[in-house]
Amino acid sequence: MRVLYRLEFLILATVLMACQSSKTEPLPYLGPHQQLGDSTVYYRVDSFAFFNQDSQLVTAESLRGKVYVVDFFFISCPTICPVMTKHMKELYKRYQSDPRVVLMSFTLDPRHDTIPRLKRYAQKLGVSAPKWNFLYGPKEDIYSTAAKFLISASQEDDSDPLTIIHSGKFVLVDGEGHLRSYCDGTSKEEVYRLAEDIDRLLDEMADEGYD
Amino acid sequence: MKYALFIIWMFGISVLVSCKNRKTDSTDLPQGLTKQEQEVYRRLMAVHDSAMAKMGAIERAIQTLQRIKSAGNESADFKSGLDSSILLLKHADEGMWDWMYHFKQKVDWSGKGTYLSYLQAEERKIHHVAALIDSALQRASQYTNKE
Repeated sequence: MRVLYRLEFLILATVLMACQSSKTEPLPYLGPHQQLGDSTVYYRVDSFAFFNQDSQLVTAESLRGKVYVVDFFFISCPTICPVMTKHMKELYKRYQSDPRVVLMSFTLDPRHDTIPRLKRYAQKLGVSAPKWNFLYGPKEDIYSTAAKFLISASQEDDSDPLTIIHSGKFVLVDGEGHLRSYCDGTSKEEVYRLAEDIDRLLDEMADEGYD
Repeated sequence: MKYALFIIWMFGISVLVSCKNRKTDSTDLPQGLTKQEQEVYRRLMAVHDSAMAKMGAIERAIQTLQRIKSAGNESADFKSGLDSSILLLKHADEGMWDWMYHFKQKVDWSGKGTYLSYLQAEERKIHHVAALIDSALQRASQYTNKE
């Protein structure tokens, strides 16, 4: 009988350890990377500067140490953006009280989505910065920033940039600007999976000593 | 035998349910549209989607033409042709963004009104925008194809 108990305990412990190890397994680093001797230099997005709906400048540097989710949208989008925004709001609610997580929605239509319009949009959604930044800047800068995030995350460098930009992707970025995961922002299931990846990334960062 | 019939019956029911769900699962449609309005809405969105897919090509063509222009060595006539082609591309690009902006703004989508004449007018407009995009790309292709 005692042997049976021991066996049960061993099985339980093994299952628990397996769960634990899959939970803490680091997320992959996306995009191209270079091998320099023994060390690997991973792709990172380390420079951008845009104004949010409160006219505050948000830069890559100001997000250092934060986990952030990026998407590209525009307020007048008649097709996929409303679904993406609904899913982003789910993430907003889930991480509302966690200062380590930030959401970043860049407008693709700065001619119409001015800062005051973005502000009204955020208010209507019942969300606010600095948790959820709606970002405004020159169109060329937005497109080049999108290319840095999305094309590298999708690893589809030959594809049409606007098709990828307007593909509804959410990209997960770590505290160093590395791209770590992405999903289809129009799919509820995929966004749930991304939320699990955010949790894994937060665990990983806690292990590395980030607050 | 009874069991096999039950399985077939269940399969039939589930197919019917899934088809029904697909028909009514139109989250992108505004609430309260009549069947005819829904048809026009779907039609104009199809034109929009197909034109929107060419917006990346517009952006790329603008960049290519600007690069050719800044390279320098062409005649004044050639440069002026490039300029008007760039202008057409930008006009087509702005036409799409403007259409999307006004399409949502102009109407109260709460489902209280009738939308047929509005949607029919918008369908004509989006066809116009799509034609602008096509002609701007075709005009630009005489330069971009040489690249």
